[in-house]
Amino acid sequence: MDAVLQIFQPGVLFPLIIAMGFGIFVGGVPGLTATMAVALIIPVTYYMEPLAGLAMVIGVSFTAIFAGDIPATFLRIPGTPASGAAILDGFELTKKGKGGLALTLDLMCSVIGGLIGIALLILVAPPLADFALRFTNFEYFWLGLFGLSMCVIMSRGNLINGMISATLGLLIATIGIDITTGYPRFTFGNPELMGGIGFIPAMIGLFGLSEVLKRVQRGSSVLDTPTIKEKVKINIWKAMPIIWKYKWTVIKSAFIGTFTGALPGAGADIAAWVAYGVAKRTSKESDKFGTGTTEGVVAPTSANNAALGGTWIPALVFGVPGDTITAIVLGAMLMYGLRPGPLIFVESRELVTGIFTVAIIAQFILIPVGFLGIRVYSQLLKLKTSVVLTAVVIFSMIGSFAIRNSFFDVSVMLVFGIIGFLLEKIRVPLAPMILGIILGPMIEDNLRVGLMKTGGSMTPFFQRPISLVLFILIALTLFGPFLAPLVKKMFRRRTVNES
Amino acid sequence: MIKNLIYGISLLATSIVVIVLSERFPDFIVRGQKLPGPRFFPVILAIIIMAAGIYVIASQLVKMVIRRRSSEPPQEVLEEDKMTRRGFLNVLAVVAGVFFYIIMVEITGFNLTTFAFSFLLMLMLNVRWWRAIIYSVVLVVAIVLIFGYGFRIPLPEGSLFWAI
Repeated sequence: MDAVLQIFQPGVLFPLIIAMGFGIFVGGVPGLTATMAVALIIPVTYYMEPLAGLAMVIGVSFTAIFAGDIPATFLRIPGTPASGAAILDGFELTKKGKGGLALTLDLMCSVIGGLIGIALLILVAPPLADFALRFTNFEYFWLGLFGLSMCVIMSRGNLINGMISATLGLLIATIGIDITTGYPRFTFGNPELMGGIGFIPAMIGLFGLSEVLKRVQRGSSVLDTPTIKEKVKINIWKAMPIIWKYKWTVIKSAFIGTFTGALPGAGADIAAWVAYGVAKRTSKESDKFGTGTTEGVVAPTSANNAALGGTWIPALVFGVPGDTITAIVLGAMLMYGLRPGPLIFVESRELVTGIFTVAIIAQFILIPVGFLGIRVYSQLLKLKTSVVLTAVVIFSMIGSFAIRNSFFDVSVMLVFGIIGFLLEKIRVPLAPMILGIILGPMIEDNLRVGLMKTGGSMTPFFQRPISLVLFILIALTLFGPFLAPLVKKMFRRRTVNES
Repeated sequence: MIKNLIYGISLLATSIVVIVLSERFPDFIVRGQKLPGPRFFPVILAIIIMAAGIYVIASQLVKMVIRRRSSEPPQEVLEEDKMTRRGFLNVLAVVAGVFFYIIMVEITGFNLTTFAFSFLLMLMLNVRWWRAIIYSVVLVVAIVLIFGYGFRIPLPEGSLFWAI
């Protein structure tokens, strides 16, 4: 009970509300993702108690995902990748003068989806953590690789580029003092590099600065964003009967969202598309999808917020992130001195209860903050993109500096911003790289400790049942796309021969 | 095409640098038994990157040969990847701006440097000068309030002003 009550202390509740306001602002700006919102808020949480910091992160992520739907509905520009599917019917409704209704539905479904996602997280995570207590170095090594492989496969861009990005991330993680031997690796005598490359400046560079560079390169066509002229009308009483009519679509989409989010590497964006696809296929009015049907708004928006609850399942239970947002959260937890994994349910039970409570409360706060956001946003969308991008660059610099009060970290942010910009030009996804930086120490340590235990033999890595299952899953994840056509061809040839 | 070749060569070069640097790392020997030391993991990663680099270069060369024989037109650049001349200058302005910001901020202090950076960048990105001034002042005040006063982060005051 104490763990629940601590959320209502001003030191936790106030930052949560502030963070939710920030999430609405960043998430709603086209091109600025929910991941970037979380990345920018982490430096602010550095000096806070872990629960207050995590409350801010949770608040930001839920509001940013919703806020991404605002420009998606008004301007046909998704504010975050998770809003991609919300464009289809949301914008069509705006064209019919029903943008306010679309966003009201969106907000209410985001709240319902979010609550279902968290309920499933509370139900599934603890028993799964009990199971994960049986894991040793061998399983954790494969689990780290599994998380990385899922991220590689889910990332946009081709598979080889995803693998390269992940490997580069793992390589960057080796910079600094080697934990086992204390030997400094790739530091070139620079004391700032002894502690390794800070994942926060790296991440702000990869997701923040590189996005700014990507947008300014297109010249004035992008920098002068269109403004909205529609007067936004919010009417909950009109939205509720619609949600009741499509209640099964909402529940089904929330379940799909949670389970998609729980797959390491898959996040709210994929969840929204899957839910939209399933809703369209199973709807009695499937032909109306894409023309401005309210069911087409309800499905993806329930799923994308539910997915956030799902992404916390592997993050908390195994210490393997469900998506880039939880990847950053994991880094932040390590920064607070916490160790995500099954033991967190034993060692920091109060904190876990606190996280669950914050996530539930955040859903209820999302309603007023969301409505306020819709109102404010209709004004903010009149700002030029160039002003917003300048603010993002400044926040990126200050955010990187604030971690250790070091301008070396701002240089790291700049370097990673340029790297991210160049890599995206050749279709190399950035998410596997950041995940590689975060999971690198876990993968390397468990591999080396495992090898020390076995005297250098890899055989035990394949002998334990869970290890073997994980290894097969990784192989199927990475090589499945190459093998599937071959297997299909073989079967086709056999059936032709038989007939 | 060419950029993919440069990408492949960069990967190859990175892997070679990593292997050469790792050679200097000491062995990890416990009770006479050689165990995986500091070079173990980076070298494995470098080998993977090397293989990927070779694959990227080879596949690009094959594509170039096929395209030349079939005289196919070059692939169209996606809208979001197009860089205009003005866009290129914008990218340079952001990168150079951040670079000079890092150098100047400890000399001229946070408030002045951030205002100058914000104002100049907004001008560069087509914002009217008087609007740029207003937005820049609002930004500096907001950051000082949030980070300086709210979170007590010591924003640099600038050695120039200390000297005065």
